Order: sequence, then C-alpha cells, then structure tokens
Amino acid sequence: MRFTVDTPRCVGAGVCAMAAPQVFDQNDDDGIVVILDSSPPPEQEDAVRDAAARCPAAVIQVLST
Amino acid sequence: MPLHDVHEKPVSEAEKRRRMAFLQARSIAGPARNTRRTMSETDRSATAVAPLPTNRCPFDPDPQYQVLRTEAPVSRASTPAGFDVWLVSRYEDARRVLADGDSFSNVDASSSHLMGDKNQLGATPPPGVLLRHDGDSHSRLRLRLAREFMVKRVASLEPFIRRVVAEHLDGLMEQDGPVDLYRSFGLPVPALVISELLGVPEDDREEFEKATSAQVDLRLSLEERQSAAIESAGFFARLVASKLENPGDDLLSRLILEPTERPMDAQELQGIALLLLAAGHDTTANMITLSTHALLEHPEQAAKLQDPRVLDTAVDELIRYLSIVHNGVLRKAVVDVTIGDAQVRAGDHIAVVLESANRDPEFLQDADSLDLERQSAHVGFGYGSHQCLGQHLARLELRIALPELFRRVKGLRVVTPKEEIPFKDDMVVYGIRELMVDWDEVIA
Repeated sequence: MRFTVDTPRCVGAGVCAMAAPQVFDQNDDDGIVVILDSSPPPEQEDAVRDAAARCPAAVIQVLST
Repeated sequence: MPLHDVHEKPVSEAEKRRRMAFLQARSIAGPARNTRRTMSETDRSATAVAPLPTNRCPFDPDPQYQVLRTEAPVSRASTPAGFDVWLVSRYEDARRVLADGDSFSNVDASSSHLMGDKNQLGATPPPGVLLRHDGDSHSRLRLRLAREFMVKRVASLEPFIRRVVAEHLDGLMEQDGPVDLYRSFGLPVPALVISELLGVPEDDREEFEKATSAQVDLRLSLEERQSAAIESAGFFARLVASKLENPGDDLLSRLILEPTERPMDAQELQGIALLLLAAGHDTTANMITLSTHALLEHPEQAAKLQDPRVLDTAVDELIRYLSIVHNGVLRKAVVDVTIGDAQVRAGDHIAVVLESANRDPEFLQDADSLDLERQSAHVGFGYGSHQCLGQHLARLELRIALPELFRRVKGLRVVTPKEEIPFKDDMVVYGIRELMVDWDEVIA
C-alpha cells in the first residue's frame, strides 16, 4: 500500500507512531514523524488507515490501492 | 422548519413538540433563526441567549446536546464567566475548528468561559503556557517538549508507573474499606508520575497539589482561585530556581541544560511546569476514578480489561465515552469565518464541546454506548496542533492502573448511594470528588 505524509505540517503528537509503530516513528529531537516503511505490506493497511484517521494534523493521506 | 431526525428512529409528534419547545426556549427556532445569525453585535446582545448546558447525567453529556447536534449544531450560549460563545456540538465542526489555527486563536485560556473573569479576555498569554500560544510561538514550545512525551520515551516510564500502582494497591491490602478511591488511588498515582517526570521533590508534592487543584475548583470564588494561583506561582518559582541552580535528571533540568540558540528563561520554565503539573495529574486522576465507576456500572465491559488485545482500544474508548474535558474548550475567531451555517465574526468566542462531538452519531455508530473493543478517532484529547501533549503518558497510566485495580481488588464495589456520588459538574475537568469503595479481598 502507499501513502503520503505532509511532514512540514506535522505537529509531533505521535499518534501515528502509536497506531502504526512498524510504519511510523518520531524524530528524537522534536517528535516530528519519521517514516520507517514507505510501502508497507498489506497487513499494515488497517494500522496506517487508523493513523491517518487519528492524526491531529491530518497530514497522512492513504493512496487508493 | 422540518423537525425530523435523520440519524435515528422516526420522531414522534410528542417528541417534535418537546424539541420545538426546547429550541424556542433556547431562542434558536422559528423564522428568526436565520436572521439572528447575521445580527449586529448590539442586536445580538439584546437577544436572550440560553445558558451553556452543563447537566451531565452522569457519564453522558447534557441531553440538550442531542437536540443541538441535529437542530442547531452551532448556536449561541451564555456562559458562567459572563460572555456569550458559539457552541460547537458536532464532531465534524469540532475537528474543523480545532484544526484551523489560522482562523481560531488559543489566546484566551481554554476554560475562560467557565472560570475566567471576562475582563481578562485578550490578555497577553503567560510565557511558557503553550496552551495559550498560537503559531510559531506555540510550536517552538511544543516541539521542544514533544520529545519528552513521545511514545517511546513514555514507554520507558512503564516500570515506574507499575511500581507506583502496585504500591498503592498494596496500601489498600493493608486497610479495611470503605476508602475514597480518588484520594487513595486515582489522585496519587498520576501525581507521583508527573512529579517524578518534572523533578518535584517529594516533600513539596502535597503543597503543589493543593495549590493547583484549588485553581480549577469552581466552588471557590474568583478571588480564592486567584489567590491559589498566586500561591502556586510562588511554588513554581521556587521549583524552577532550584533546578536552575542545581539541575538533575528531569524534564525541567533537561530544558535548562539543552544547548539551544534561544534558551528558556525562568518565567517560561515556570509556565511550562505549572501547565504540565496541572494538566498532567488532575485529568488522569479523574479518568481513573470516573472510569472505575463506569466500569463497575458496565461489568460485562470491565471483564474484558484483562485481555491485553482489548487494552489497546479500551483506554481510548473510555476517554471518548467519558470526555472529562467538558463544557467546551474555548477558541477565539481571528477572522470572519463560517462554521456549519453560522457566520462567526473576528473576535467571537467559540466553545468546542468535546463530550458532544464524541457522542455524535454521524461520527460513530451507537456512540452513546461503551464498547471497549472499538477503535475511533475521538476528540477526547482534543485535535489539531494543541492536542494533548501528554496523551501517551495518560494512556499508559490508565492501561496499567485500571486492569491492575480490577485484577487485584476482588469484589470491588461503590458503597456511596448513586444519587449521592459527588460528580464534578462544577469543575473544569469532569470526575468524581470522592468515590467511596469497598471490596472482598486484595490479592498480590
């Protein structure tokens, strides 16, 4: 699956790192999103969609597969 | 005006009449409805505005929100602080307002409409209190603190939290009930955790807790709350001075020692300490106590707490269902803007009602029920760039404290008669002032 992240608008809340820890992490300095896996396997899709829905800055867009 | 509810079962004639009477009482029904939304300020203040609905019952939002969400999702309300606000009751509108930091400012404290003096509106936000800063001034503070509250950083506190929870349950083992669960478990656990994180010396913890809780106690007069604020300001000044002089291994000391182009001054550090201590312990304390009561009222749900897979969703569902940050979080429009079909003008205040948004049936099916196994994008922690900084810490504390309480304390029950349980309708954060509980046995 594919997704995009508008990193400059990230607010560092870490909701993605909680919802999809195999796909997202946070930068040690400021908590801003770090992408661990830019094309995660299908079994991660639910977690990534959950992260996208819950991101407080709405910066994650899931691209249709 | 059509009065049908599109989300739920058909509405009876009697129900329609009841709703019409309700809307007229709130002066939001009838032909004047559309015109009054574009009235001038003078006209607007001349119209009698219904008060902010604050009657929770007891886990649910004030029932008026059920009607407001469908019939007048963005409507005017008067507030205890003496100024009127736009009440935002729907989930979609709530997220839109909270996400739009360009149109809506945090400059006035988020609970000014509940506890503030309206003369303080528009005052310069105190340094370090990031909740009241906008834009770059906010993100500078927020991003420097974010690292302290990252998922992986918070996870390192798990052994400490487990120890504190275990010690307080051991404490119950050594005494006979009934005891007040809020004082003996709900409050001390998060207070010790945030004190540890910030580096508050053990001897000072009681003093800080008294001063911070008095500030948000709406039973006290404005003068009493202001004097508590002055007292706690003195406490935080001494705390920060001691860290500046003698830094240790704690959050405040790390902020002091961190090499940066723009170091934080003592005033900013005091603001940060005050905000984190106040926001970081009373909220979680109320969640622990109120969740325990809610789970005892829903034993089929409480039984699921021991399943680690359910724990991932359970805590967030409790946060959604109970929505303890209630009665609206305040924003101020900085430009003319439309929310739903309401024309909001620059300078207007907006109260985003999280407990109503979290129960919006357009957001979540069967939103009024508690279902620990469901996942949702609730707004219990807020939304947008000001979403709760300590949310991962709160989740971790709850996911340890609640299952451990129910696992170890057998036959846990509330002994206070239901109608006498002192719910905190009169506090900025909802909860239970005292929850007397008893039990059969505390196991190791």
